[in-house]
Formats: sequence, C-alpha cells, structure tokens
Amino acid sequence: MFRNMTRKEFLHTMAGAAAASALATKGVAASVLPGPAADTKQAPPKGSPKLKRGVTLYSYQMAFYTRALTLEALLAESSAIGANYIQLLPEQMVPGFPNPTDRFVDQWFDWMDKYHLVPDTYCQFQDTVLIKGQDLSLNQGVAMLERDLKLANRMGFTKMRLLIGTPIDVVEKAIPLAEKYGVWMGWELHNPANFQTPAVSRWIEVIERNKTEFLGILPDFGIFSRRPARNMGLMGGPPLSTTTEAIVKYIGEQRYAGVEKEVIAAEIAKMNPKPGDLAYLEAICSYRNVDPHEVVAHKQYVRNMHTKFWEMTDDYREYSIPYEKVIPVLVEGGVDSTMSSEFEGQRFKQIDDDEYELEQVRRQHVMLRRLLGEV
Amino acid sequence: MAVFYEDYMICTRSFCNVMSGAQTTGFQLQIRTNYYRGTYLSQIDALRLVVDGEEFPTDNMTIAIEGVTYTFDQLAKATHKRWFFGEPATLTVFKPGGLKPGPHTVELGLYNRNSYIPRFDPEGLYPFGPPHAGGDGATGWGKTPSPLPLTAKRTMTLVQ
Repeated sequence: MFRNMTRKEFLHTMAGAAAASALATKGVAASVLPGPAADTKQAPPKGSPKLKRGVTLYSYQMAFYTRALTLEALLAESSAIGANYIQLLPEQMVPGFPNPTDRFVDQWFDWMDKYHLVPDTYCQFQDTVLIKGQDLSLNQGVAMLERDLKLANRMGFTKMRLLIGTPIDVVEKAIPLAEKYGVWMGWELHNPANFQTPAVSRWIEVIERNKTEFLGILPDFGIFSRRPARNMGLMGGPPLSTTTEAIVKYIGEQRYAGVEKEVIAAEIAKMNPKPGDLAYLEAICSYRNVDPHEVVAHKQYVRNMHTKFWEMTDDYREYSIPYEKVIPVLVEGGVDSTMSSEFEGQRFKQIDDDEYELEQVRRQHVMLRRLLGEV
Repeated sequence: MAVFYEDYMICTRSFCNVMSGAQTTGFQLQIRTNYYRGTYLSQIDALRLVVDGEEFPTDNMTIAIEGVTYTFDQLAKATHKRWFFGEPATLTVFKPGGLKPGPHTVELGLYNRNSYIPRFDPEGLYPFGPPHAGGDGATGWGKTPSPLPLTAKRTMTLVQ
C-alpha cells in the first residue's frame, strides 16, 4: 500500500495512525490503523480462507504470569502477527473471573476494535470435583457451564472449548443454553485420546440425536505428534542414562519421517542398542500419530483447533508435529475452522527471556503462512 | 499435578517479620501459585513450607488472598473464591521472635488438586492414566502426593 507514497505522505499517515491509536474508541480506529489486520480488511489475503489463523493467549502465559506483559500487550502482539482470532482462558487472564466488571468488558471490546481482533474461543474448565471427594450434581454442573456460556456471550466469544472429561450428560442438558447464548461448544480431542476413544462416538451420538450445530469436537494437534519435544526429555520413556544418544536421535528422526516401527527396530539392532533404546522405541511408537484425514472425515463437527506446539526450530518447523503433512490435508479436505496457536514449551523449560514465547509463536505463524499459501 | 514455574513461586518482595504490639510474633512472605489456571481456593490441597531446614505446619499459618485472610481449614470450603494466576498471596507464619535478619533459605511445596478429571469412569470412555482401579472405575486422580515434594527454593535476605 505504500508503494506510490512519498516519504512525506508516509510519515503523515503513520503519525495520524499513532494519534488515532492513542484515542481509539469502539469502531473508530479500525479504518485508519496500519498493520497486518488493516491490510486484511482492504484485500482478502492469498491462502486458504477456510483455515483462519489465531492464537490462544495461553501461549503467552509466562509473560503474563511474571507480569512482564499485560493482557493488552498480548493482544497487540497477536494483532501484529495476524493471529486475529483470539482464544482465551478467562480464569487465567480476566481479573475478577467469573464476574469481571462492566468496565473490564467495555475495555475488552475496545481492545478488540483497536487491534482488529475477533473473540473466538473461550476455554472452559468444568470443575466437577470442586469439593474434595465430591462430584457436582447434574444441575450443579449445568449451572457451572451456564456461568461460562454467559461470560463467553458477554465477552463476544462464539465458541467454547470443553475439556475431554466434561460430563456428557451435563453438556447435553446445556445444549439449549448454548443455543440461547449463541456459543458453540466443542469437546477437546487431546492426546492420548484419538478418534477411536470410546467417548468420541458418544459425543457424536449426542450431537446427532440433538440435531444441534452448537456442539462439536475440537482437535488438539498433539494427536499428530510423532516424537517427544526436546524440552520435555523422553516423556513417558526410559531414563536418558539407559539410552544411547545417537540411537535416540535416530529413532526420533525416523518416526518423525513416518517410518514403521519394525523397520526402525531392524536398523537399530545393528547399532548395538542398550535396553533403554528399545524401551524408547516402544514409548515413541505409542504416540497416537493420528492421520489428519480423520479430522477431515469429522470436519462437520470442527470449528476450532488447537495448533499445539512445543518447539519451533530455527528453520521454522515444529520438532514433534509434522505440520507439513497435516495442514495440506486439512486444506485439501476443506476443513473450515479457526486455528488457535497453542505454545506449551514454556511449561517444561523455564527460559530467562520475557519474550521467548512471543518468538516461538511468531515462528509458528511464519510456518503456517507458508503452509496456508499466504506467502 | 505436574509442577511448573517453581522458580517464580517464592517472592522476595515483602519478606519480613511481623509484630504484635512490641512483640515479634512471626514472619511473612509472598508466594504465587504455579498452576496455570489460577485456582479455586478449595483446590489448594496441600502446602509445605520449610525455612532453613525447619518445617512450619499449615496449622501455624494463615494465607491472605485478595485481601481476605484464611486458615488452611477454611480454604477447603472456599469453592467460589479464586487465587489469580501470577498474583502473590501472603503467608503469615507464627514463630515467636521471628526470623533473624540476614539470609534465609525458603523451600515450598504446593499441591493443587485436579478438579476436572472425572473421579470415576465406569464405562472406560476416557484414556486417563493411571490405569483404572477397582470395579467402580475409579480413575485414581486427585490423591495428594505423600510426602509432598518441596519443588521451589529460594535464598533471600530478611531485613527486619
């Protein structure tokens, strides 16, 4: 947009935008601010319009926890990388949860306008065991879910993430409430579950029986993981001391590339393996390694996905999850969904850099833009 | 629950002795929950505090969260009050004479009970480990580790 602009015009535009930003109120700033979001409004981006980039602010939790960055700063960052669909854990970042002040909610909508963001998905936690050793009754459970549906509606969210264990009877009873508040609910399909997990067929049965468009499934990309992240150790596997470094590395690379267990086993037999190496091969092969075509087969139930990751490498790839093999299948299959980048590496390795999480999310969005054909 | 953010749980800010009239009756320090959601106070299942090798039972302390002071017995019933993620709470510990000025090594263990994984899964709908135990399908979640590990540690100076 600046190609034919003189230096003077450019500086004038930027100064005007800065002033508008400082004074931003609902609906005013959107047309004048520069940046990726404004460009998006002027001309639809190249790429795959059915898969929309977003971020869950969970990704930035350490910066928020240490108070290095404010909620507004995190929203500004999301906007700067074009992750315009916002997912939030309100209990994590909304002061006064579950009853924030009207002033906060007004502020929230002002931020959405100022940074051209869409409140997309509200992460709900159904605390069925709020009291030690006691379960909520069905009605208490529905009341808890309604509390969250109300707050989601109040903050403009149109979708809600339910945890995998959220009781099915509670959710079914809350369907009319979800419809009333205009909030779609999706059970999160999270490792170690997959589409063959018995709960999934029960969910689908409930969705179909109620003929509702307000209930679905929310896949977490951890289901596509092929090896443990390097910052997680050999998660679920043997102690490092019982393994051979070169063999562990070899196994990881082969699994990431999609090689079958038997083929790898035959190869490492020639490498004088220790018992830990064989145990590691067993552990890594227990990863679900779900075929992305299964998401396509369930696409009518999917409206948001957690694009989970633990470690973006220097060459803009995810170390554990082969995004190159997943995203093209979802694009080709016509999956129509927002994607919430979910960085989780900060929980395994504490790094003395307030903006480490931001860099990781940025790298993922470089990768996603490439895979979506935006660049 | 798995423990994260141990490096940030014990705060240096506000570490001091407390007085009652002319008597030093104990000491105070601020701590942050390491649970990424923040917690309902009823989820705070166990806490251990060790200073310079001396353990202080929770019977001898209070915790102040968002301006309200609780005994540890009261926490279990506080199902609608929350401890916000990253927000320090104040532990006030009964110790006549307080702590001596100078460096102290503080160790902390905190266990937030998992409250969203069903206690029972009789139909085997979910892949939750550890393996189901017993005919009722008890999932084995929500048991307090014993002894609770002291995962956070910090040496800091008390002035007065």
